[in-house]
Amino acid sequence: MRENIKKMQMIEETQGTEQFQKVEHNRKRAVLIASILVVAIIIPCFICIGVTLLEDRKYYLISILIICASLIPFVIQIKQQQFSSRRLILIASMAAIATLGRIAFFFLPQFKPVLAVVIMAAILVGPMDGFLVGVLTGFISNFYYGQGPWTVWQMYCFGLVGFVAGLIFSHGKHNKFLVCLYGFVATFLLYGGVINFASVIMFYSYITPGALKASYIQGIPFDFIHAVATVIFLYFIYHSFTEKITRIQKKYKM
Amino acid sequence: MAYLETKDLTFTYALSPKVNLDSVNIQIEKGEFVLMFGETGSGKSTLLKLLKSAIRPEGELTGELLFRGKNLLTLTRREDTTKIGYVSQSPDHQIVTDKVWHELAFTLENLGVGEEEIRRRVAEMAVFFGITDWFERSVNELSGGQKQILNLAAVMIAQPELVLLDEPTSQLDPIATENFIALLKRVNDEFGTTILLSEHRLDEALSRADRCIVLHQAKLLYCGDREGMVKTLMEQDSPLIKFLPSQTSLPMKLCSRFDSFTIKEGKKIMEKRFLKERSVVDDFTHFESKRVSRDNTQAETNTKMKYTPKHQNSPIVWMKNVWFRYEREGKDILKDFELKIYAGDYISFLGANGQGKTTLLSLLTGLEKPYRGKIIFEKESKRNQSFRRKISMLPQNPQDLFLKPTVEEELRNIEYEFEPYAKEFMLEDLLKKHPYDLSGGQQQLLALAKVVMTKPEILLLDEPTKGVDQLLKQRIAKIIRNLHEQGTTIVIVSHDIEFCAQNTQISYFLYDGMITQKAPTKQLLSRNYFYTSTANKMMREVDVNLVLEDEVVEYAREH
Amino acid sequence: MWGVTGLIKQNKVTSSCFYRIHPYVSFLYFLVAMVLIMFSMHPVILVTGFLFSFVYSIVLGGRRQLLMNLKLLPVALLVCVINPLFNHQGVTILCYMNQNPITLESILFGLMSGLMIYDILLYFQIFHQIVTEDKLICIFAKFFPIGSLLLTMAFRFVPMYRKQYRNVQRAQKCIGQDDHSGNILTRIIHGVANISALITWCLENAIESSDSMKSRGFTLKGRTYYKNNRLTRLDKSYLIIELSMVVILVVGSILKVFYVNFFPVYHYANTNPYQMVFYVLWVVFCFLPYWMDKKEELAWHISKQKI
Repeated sequence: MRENIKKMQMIEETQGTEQFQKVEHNRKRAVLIASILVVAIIIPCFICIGVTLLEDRKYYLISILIICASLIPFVIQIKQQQFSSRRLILIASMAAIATLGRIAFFFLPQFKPVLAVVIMAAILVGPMDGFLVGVLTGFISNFYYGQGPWTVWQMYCFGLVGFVAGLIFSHGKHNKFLVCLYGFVATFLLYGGVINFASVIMFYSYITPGALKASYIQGIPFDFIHAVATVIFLYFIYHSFTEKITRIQKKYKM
Repeated sequence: MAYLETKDLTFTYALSPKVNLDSVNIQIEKGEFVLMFGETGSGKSTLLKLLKSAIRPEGELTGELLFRGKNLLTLTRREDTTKIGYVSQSPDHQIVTDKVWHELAFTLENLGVGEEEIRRRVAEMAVFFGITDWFERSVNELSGGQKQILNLAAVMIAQPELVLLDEPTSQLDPIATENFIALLKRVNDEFGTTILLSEHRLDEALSRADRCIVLHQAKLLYCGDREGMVKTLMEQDSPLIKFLPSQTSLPMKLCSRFDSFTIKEGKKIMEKRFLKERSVVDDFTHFESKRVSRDNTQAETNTKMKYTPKHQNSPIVWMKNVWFRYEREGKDILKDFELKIYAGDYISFLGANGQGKTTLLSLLTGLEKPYRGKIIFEKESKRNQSFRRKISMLPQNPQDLFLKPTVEEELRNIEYEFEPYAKEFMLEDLLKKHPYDLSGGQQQLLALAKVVMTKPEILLLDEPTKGVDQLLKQRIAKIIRNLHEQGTTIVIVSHDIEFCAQNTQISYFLYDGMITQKAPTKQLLSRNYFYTSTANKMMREVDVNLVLEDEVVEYAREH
Repeated sequence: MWGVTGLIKQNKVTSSCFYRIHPYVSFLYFLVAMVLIMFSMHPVILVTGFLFSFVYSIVLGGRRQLLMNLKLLPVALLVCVINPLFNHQGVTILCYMNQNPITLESILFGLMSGLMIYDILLYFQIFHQIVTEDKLICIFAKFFPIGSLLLTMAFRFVPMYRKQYRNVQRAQKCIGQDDHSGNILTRIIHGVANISALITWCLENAIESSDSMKSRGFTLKGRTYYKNNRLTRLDKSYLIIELSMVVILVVGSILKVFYVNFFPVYHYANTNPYQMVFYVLWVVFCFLPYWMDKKEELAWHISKQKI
């Protein structure tokens, strides 16, 4: 026990050295690139394999398994990372706010600020944490809305929208117009695209071109409302959000 | 060698021109219960945060900080975690997990303690702090007092030698405060843990302290035993005298005694001063006769109040046999509640927590509707909506009202011509600041300003003095008095007996959803045995009608 | 069914053995049962799953749960109807609709798909009642520690923010700034303003939370993750029983016991004695929570009689 503690102290002391930081930086970079590859290449591959090679009636299971599998790289990466208390609190509270947004606008179906909050949070905290905010939001909010087979899909979509937002905006400059544009495209194509696909699997159990077409056409009005809502909320919260964040960062040197 | 010592400690925050601590020298011995006080912004919080290296603020530090003779700044994180505990002001924001047991285990998890060991220590702490009944609950179901006890327990579980507490009771009601401080004293007595407690309300803590530290405008005013502290304050005629509770300040002012810290001690001294010429028998008869005469006057005033021609108009708000509950299956919060408020009233509602006071305010503002009975607003039939708008309420937490990034925008949001208000509420110099950068008292002023700017006819105040120090309290009292003189009807819900006694005309005592007492405030308090001001508790056998400190001082001048 | 619901007392959930058992046991059960239901379209699996989930969810949730279950039914019916309309495989053509064949096989397939969706929905209903937040955190603490910490924090924050959101809303109403009875547009504008105020509140106060974590030694190396649940002997024995059943069921699946083919011709492996064993085992497994509750009830009565 005592030796253990000493060892831990040693590790804590070495943490501050320059070399350690350099190695840490390189490692983080490598992991980031790897995670981008995973999202960009491996997941579509998985889906292709699932659609073409596997037998007819297992779409449901396979699709969920693909999603779970695609989460694994994230999990591994997250497990490796060091989380400061501020980072954790930020992720958890952003997810809680997005959840609350879903609850607060209960009176308007489809018209929810969830994605807007996730996108803004992702811009602030970067792709990895943006992904976490999204996934956590999907999971937690369904605790209040009712869990179901859709939970996994929603988690995945929220996470993906957050991840991409983080990739695009967190390093470069961003402005209201671009963020709103991204919000529209991401909601309509990314979120809507995946969720409609999920509903084909959920409701039709069997993927046919006709079913796909029907589902996507039926989905258009809903996705459109959702995308417009995201744009409206982004338009309203963009300034106040960035203002708040820069203030907090300045005040507490985060 | 002292246990904890600072030598010429000077500290300035980064990005701030003001010196926050100016050559402070304090010494604390091991196992002491140390009470620290001073006005808002005197540097109490800064000093506490400097002692806890995990959260030490950034800035320029000179001088020395010695902990057991060693430089405190050289403590490793692990030592800092295990040896020094820190509890802050807000009961809510310190809690990071959602279950009570998890919050207790949190520190030990961080320290890398094994599962069975955690189980053992968590169980032990739960028993000591009386948490067992709510051990498995979600923290969101707890009351403020319970949350703060949980925070203390979560810190104590690491078995620290020194616990720092930054105004831990400022958000609690008096009963929860008393419980918390008593528990803290028990920790001090049974574990020998050194306690450094900063407070702005000394009623409960002063009687338990071994040592006092007084900070004033970033400088150390005093560090030493309690008697010396009282003496020093008196000799320097410091404004901080206002912080002393009645049981200390009255004997000090009237008898030059500096050693009275409990009501018992104060009462003894005061009775010796005022009753010394009477024999015991006389004393008894005197008391009895007083009581009889008081009962008579009371009866008189009661009848006066009933038939007084003062309220010739009809009431502006009339709650007629109102029944209210939150859920269909829930219990009644208000029962057959009857209340009339007349224009120009200045009334307060007193009573313990959970007796329906806050619910009453929500009914008056129209946030909730009674399920039986009626609330009749004057001229309701015609201008229902517009009349409702003239009722405004100050919420318990001023932060609920803040929407904008600067004080100026916050005020302009309500009214464009905000300058006169800014002046009245002492916000002129703060206009460019962010509302959350203000101190607790200033936040309260800003919130009050926002509410007053809506020009209400009836102003409802929910705990306006919560977490506000003595000096600001007087400012708030003055502002409200001005409003009342201009014709605003004022309704206050508060635990602050002294504040209500000083300011309000009539008080209602609520118990179990009903009004059990209604009388002019001072009379209502003097009639009570337990629920009354400290000064009254001390003086009731001399003259039961004395409620306020100033009255006692006045009385002493006459006798 | 009505009779059953009438007898149910309010705290049925928390007093049930399946609720109080170690989360590993309940989690493994849900995982295997749901995966099998999703994996196989065998009538035995689906019908047993339906019987169990329907009855057990009502045993736990009472009359309200029954209403909920009925509310979910249209989703399943929709799936039943939609499938034959879009899926034209199969050889037994019953009729034509818009020149598309409607086949017996696709109707059967739709029926089974609907049943599967319904089973899954019902299982989620049970899941929601049984697996509470601290059980989730227990599971995550073992397999994904940082996730468990994030979860517990989020579960802490949501109710807190919800309360604060309500406070902000009420405070604004009390100074005449928020009119709840207004039209949709003003409601949205006020909603956005309140959410924005809430974000400020939570960001500003997050610092105190983070200080509290730091001062209690968070980010020290070698953090452990404590679980409040202890694996008792009973839990262990249930776990072993469950695991052995799972192994057999998996073997069965590999042997294609639960295999059904819909297209082009509906057909499933004929029932012979050795397959019956697997079916019975599935039924036993599926009703495991029910057996647990019953066994404990029985043990309780026996122990009382001995006095």
